[in-house]
Amino acid sequence: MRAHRMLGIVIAAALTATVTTGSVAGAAPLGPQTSRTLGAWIIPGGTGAPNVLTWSSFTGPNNTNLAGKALNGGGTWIAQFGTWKLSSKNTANSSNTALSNLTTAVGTVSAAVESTTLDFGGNPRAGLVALSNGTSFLYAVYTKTAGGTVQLYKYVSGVSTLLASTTGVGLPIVAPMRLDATTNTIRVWWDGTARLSYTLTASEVTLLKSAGHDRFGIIADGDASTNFDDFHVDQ
Amino acid sequence: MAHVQSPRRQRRLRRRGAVVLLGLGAFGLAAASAASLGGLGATTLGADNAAVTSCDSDGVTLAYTNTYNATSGKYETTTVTVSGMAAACTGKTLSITLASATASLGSGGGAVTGASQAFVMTTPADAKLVTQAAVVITG
Repeated sequence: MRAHRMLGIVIAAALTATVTTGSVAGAAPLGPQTSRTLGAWIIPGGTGAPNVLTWSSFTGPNNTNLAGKALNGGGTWIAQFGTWKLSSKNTANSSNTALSNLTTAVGTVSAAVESTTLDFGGNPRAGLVALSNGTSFLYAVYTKTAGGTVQLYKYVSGVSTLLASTTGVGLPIVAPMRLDATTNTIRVWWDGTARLSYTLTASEVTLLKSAGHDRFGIIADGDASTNFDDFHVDQ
Repeated sequence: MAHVQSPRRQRRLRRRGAVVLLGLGAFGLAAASAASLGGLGATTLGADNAAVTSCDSDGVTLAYTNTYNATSGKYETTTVTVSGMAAACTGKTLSITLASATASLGSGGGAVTGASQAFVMTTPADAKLVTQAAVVITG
């Protein structure tokens, strides 16, 4: 009988302890929360950014001859008419040679080329090349005449022909230029603004948009003072 | 009259008592283990609910500004313009996350000041990899 009583006391004590322990987890209301607003959306789609086919930051030892050198983004430089070297400012500049150009093959005739030009106090006539196969190509140049002029030329069989021109584009010391040949309508941007537009004729499309005209690059026409930086070809 | 239990019954009761004591010992051990965590002094817990409403019911539209990064040779999304925000969203906080199918690529945001607003990305995203954007307005 005594053993029974002891057993009952022990079980009662255990139950009490359990109930006491359980009260630790008891919930108490904190009070009302304030109402909140929420807007949430998942929006599919890309940013529309161009694909960079190749690029160069023109970094390397001063006076490095760029002909045959690799670009940062792949491909190699091809120098035509003149000599192109790296400067101590990590830019590229040309010898004082007519139509000196430096291009790279990107494997497509639908692309846009862009580079920053830096005028170090000379008389610039410099810009960009598109759709070159080495013997014929398009090129756009900037000069300081008439408050700043941008011109678009085609070069065929040793002859340059003016296709479009505009003046009064300003005289910035540093400015980006972009030559867009992604379609048959060629467009030129200078200092962040669209300046020229020219639609290729059927014969020009046949000539310049044909296989092998996949070289894009920079040009300095008798201009050893203009420097180039931040070169890239986009699609 | 003295109640005399048989020796067999006494042994059985002792065994039961031992089992209970063992159980209590285990409970005490468990309690001691829990007590050894320390620092759990708070004993109150609350739960409630409140209405969550949307400040804009018809969604928003995004436009991207992509800038060439000459160091990486890539275009980066540096600004996202959010338009079509309802007036009820003004004053609230907008967060944008740009992502691919598998990873977050960049984020930005700020206070909403109007129906259309450009938000600078504090972490620019590799523009070519972006396949979706998550926009959240809270406040």
